[in-house]
Amino acid sequence: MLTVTGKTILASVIIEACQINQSFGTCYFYCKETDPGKNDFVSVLKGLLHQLLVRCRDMVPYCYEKKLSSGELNMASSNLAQQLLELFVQRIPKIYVIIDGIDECDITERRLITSFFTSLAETCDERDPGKLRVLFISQDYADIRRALATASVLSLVPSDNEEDLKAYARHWGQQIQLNHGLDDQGKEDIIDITLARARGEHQK
Amino acid sequence: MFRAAWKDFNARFKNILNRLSRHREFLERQAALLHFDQFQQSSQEAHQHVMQYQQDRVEIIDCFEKQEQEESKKKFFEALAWISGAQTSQDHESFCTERAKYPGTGSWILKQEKVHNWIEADTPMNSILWLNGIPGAGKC
Repeated sequence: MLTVTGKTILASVIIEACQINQSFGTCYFYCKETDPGKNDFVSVLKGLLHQLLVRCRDMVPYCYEKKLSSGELNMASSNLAQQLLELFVQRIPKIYVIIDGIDECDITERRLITSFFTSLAETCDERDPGKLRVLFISQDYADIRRALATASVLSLVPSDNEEDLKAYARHWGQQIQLNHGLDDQGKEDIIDITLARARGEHQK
Repeated sequence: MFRAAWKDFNARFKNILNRLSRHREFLERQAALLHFDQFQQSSQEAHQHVMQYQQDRVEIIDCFEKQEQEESKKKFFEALAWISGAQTSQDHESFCTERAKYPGTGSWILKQEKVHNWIEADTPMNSILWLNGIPGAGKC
């Protein structure tokens, strides 16, 4: 049962909203602790680069040349990935970057991530404020808080998504009523239990 | 003495000029006749030749463009493979699909002032936004 009320789901809402805006390029990455291809700095860079190249085809010749001169089958160099990303950011007039779950990366890696992107955004802001917009979504960990001291912060509290939790609980109540032929009181009980459980989980 | 010689020269010169002039007219007439006979035939040949050339040119350019596109596509896929980015778009799609079961869920986040400003403002208050809190529950 995938809950639809976690931060990751909110990330997906924001990503979709960004994608609607045609004057911006949107790229994103969902970090995942248990996936070695999704839990470090280089993985984040490569994931973003993939999307940017698909969007920005005129960078193909340049990237192709870099591939040839690297002599690698797969890009491994963090420096090269950083350089490429900086270049894409220069070329694309306006860009949203959304990185979900940086807490899923270990402390060294997430330090690299926050440091690279905050620095890049600051550089872009000097010339053209708001050209590069970066959204980090994560647990509230002390190291991340320190790293993002200059960022705008929105801390979510459980009551924020109360409506969503209720909708979620109602949905399951209805499903279970259908599947097991419960009466309406039975359904309400299920809803209450589901809601309590969801709220409880969210308070962990 | 000179005048006489000149008259003589003049006369002879005029004579030569006349003959040259008649010769020239004759040649021109001949050339015109020849030209006319052949003109019709070679005009048609020339026309065909031009048509063929135009067609060839279009085909060659077309073929060349197709080749360029193929090359370009090949390079695109090779560059993408080299970048070897993880398939994060699949993750995104699965989250969106799941969310679609509960229409409207999560949309409240877009109304939060800081989020709205970050997305929509011409110049946001801050280019960097950090969203924290609400531990994700029950990961699948």
